[in-house]
Amino acid sequence: MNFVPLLRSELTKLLSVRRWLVALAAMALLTIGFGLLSSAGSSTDANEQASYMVGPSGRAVNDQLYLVHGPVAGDATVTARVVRQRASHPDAQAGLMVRERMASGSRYVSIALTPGHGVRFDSNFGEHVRHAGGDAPQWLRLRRHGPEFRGEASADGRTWREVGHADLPGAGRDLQFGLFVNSPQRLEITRTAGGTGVTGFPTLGRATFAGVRLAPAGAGAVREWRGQDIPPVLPGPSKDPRLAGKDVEAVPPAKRGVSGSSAGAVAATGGSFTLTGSGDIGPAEGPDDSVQASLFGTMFGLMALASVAVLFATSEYKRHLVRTTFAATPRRRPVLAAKAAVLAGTTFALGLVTSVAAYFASRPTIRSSGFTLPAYAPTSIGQPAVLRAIVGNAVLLVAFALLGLGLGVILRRSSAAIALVFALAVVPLFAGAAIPPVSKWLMWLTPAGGFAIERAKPPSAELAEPWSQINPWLGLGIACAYAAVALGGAAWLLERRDA
Amino acid sequence: MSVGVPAVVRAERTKLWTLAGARWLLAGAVAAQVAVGAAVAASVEEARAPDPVRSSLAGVWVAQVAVVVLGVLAVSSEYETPQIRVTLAAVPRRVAVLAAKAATVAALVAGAAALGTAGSLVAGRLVLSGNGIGLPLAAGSTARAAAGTVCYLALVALLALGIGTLVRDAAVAIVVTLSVLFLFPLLGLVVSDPAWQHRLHRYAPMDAGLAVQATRRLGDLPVGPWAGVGILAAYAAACLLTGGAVFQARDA
Repeated sequence: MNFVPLLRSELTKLLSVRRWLVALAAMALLTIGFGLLSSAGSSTDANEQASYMVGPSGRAVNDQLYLVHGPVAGDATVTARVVRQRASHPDAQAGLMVRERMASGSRYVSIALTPGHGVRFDSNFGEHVRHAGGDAPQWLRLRRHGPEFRGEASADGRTWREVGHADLPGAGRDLQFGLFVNSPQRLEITRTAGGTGVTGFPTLGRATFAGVRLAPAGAGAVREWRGQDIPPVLPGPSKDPRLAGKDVEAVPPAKRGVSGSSAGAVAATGGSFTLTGSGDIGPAEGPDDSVQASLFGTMFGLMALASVAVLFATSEYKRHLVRTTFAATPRRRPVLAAKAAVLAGTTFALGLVTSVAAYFASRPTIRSSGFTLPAYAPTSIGQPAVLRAIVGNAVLLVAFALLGLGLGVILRRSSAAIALVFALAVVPLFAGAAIPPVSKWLMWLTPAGGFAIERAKPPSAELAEPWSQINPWLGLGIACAYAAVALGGAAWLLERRDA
Repeated sequence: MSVGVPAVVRAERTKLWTLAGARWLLAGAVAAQVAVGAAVAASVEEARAPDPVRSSLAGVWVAQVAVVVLGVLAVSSEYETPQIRVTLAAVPRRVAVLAAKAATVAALVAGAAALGTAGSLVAGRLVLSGNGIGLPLAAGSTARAAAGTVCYLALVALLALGIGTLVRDAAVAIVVTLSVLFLFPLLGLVVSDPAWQHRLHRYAPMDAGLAVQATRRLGDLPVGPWAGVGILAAYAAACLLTGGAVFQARDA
């Protein structure tokens, strides 16, 4: 039998129940409305605590390091071997840097060794981050050719591999070349019921460089380089904009020593330099996600959608329509497939329109809540991460709709199926927020983790929302897997039992 | 002819007890309360021990889903069949019918909740002692948390019964009740304005009603233990009264 008439008949069933249409409209309105509400409530005062630096793109950045440097005119290459590096923090850096100015927030290109993530190439606070494997001892090389910079690494100083390259358009003739060391704060995150507390402990990076060379010969003398902290005084932990608005506890005075103005130091012995330094380089934007705030209403809209999805299956049993349906189409699985296709298509279309509308509707509220430059970069629908969140949100709704349909067929009772969808989709969120030790596991094991796809920023353990801890694709995958299992179970049962 | 109150209550008890799935729901609520409570208690580490009593009683989050379904079905099931007409023909005083339903549902759920709560505390004590953490069963605060949990589940059942009476349709009533319970506390997570957060935790029925489970740092609670139960009771009463008024006014 042809599949198209089946699709048409299922679509007719879905669209001919007025209450379901009302519920679908309610889904859209709840999603947009609660998105607006959560955007209005998610205020941030990060911009009022403007104690941070502003980078070249106008965004808030961290620019903290100890640099031993000197001016170099024109094209040049600096080479050094990182002999050893203290494992003060997985992202501590020890390497080479070229920067335009010594002031904080200046443009730069750097290549550095890290204790936890190999060799890291970067420019202008996260513009061109590239990673390559490697650990100490490691040769590093940074070459300038006009506005173009190449970072290379080598295990033996003979065979070099490029880690990354970047341009500083319009860079002047004189740039500062140097060696640098830093080490970010160790963040201690305590999850409590309904909130998180973030405490930052400064760490002190330490690394020894040997074989520091500057080429060509006329470029300058390394022994004339001078050490300097950037910025001259490191901000204390409570001024870190990443922690703005959070429950920040005071750093114990005993541990505060390294954040003082004399954090960095250099000692030169027989051609090798040992640098100590503290701080972090990179974007300083907080983990709060304004895209997530816009889409938060999905959780409310979901409830209306889930009831339609469940009833789409169970109402057939309630009114014995299912006997007519199966009399007309004795092969039952195609009926289920048609139901699933119609429900998925409708949900995806409506979900996508709703997500886009929720995103745009909440933009003005988001801006007036304080999510503006420099503390928060504006988002736009063209950014891949924002598109992923919006389209992913529509896919998440499809997954929950199909989960509801599958459970409806399996259980045949709307009350039980709806309660089960709710128990799977929402209860873990609440339990995860309230019981910190299990929150990550709950997100990995239940479809509630799918809400991770609503975030446009990388996963973060600093937020109270349990789903913000896990990878967005993983979360969406788990939700889809639940839907697939429910539909598979429904298809299996449908053939085996009486209608 | 007028039917006495004991007869009405007996009739409601028989209907509820013979409802398809009622016993399963009650058994499920007890099992979920004990099992989830024990699992959460097992995750408590000594170093940063949260409230051991509250952790052991955490199963209430899952158990209340079953309780909500039962509370709604107690009334909506009558509308799925012409049963409601029979009921109202026998007992024309509708307030009496609803009151008898409320008393029956509350009593049944409270019984199951008492079982589940006692089981959770015993299981929690066993699990926690394995981690070297004590759970004082005889302490006054433990008794308050236990009694409060039983009250909480009974009130949730009444809230569900009220909403069920109001909307009659099981699916809609379950979705509405669960949303009221669960989604407002979640909104509190995303809203970062402290004043709004406090308001949400104080007036959301679940957060307010479960404050009674806390035995430590009572000063940090958004609302006092019994005052929170009072807030939940106010929601339940409002829903039951509205449901009752509509039930009285409309056609069966």
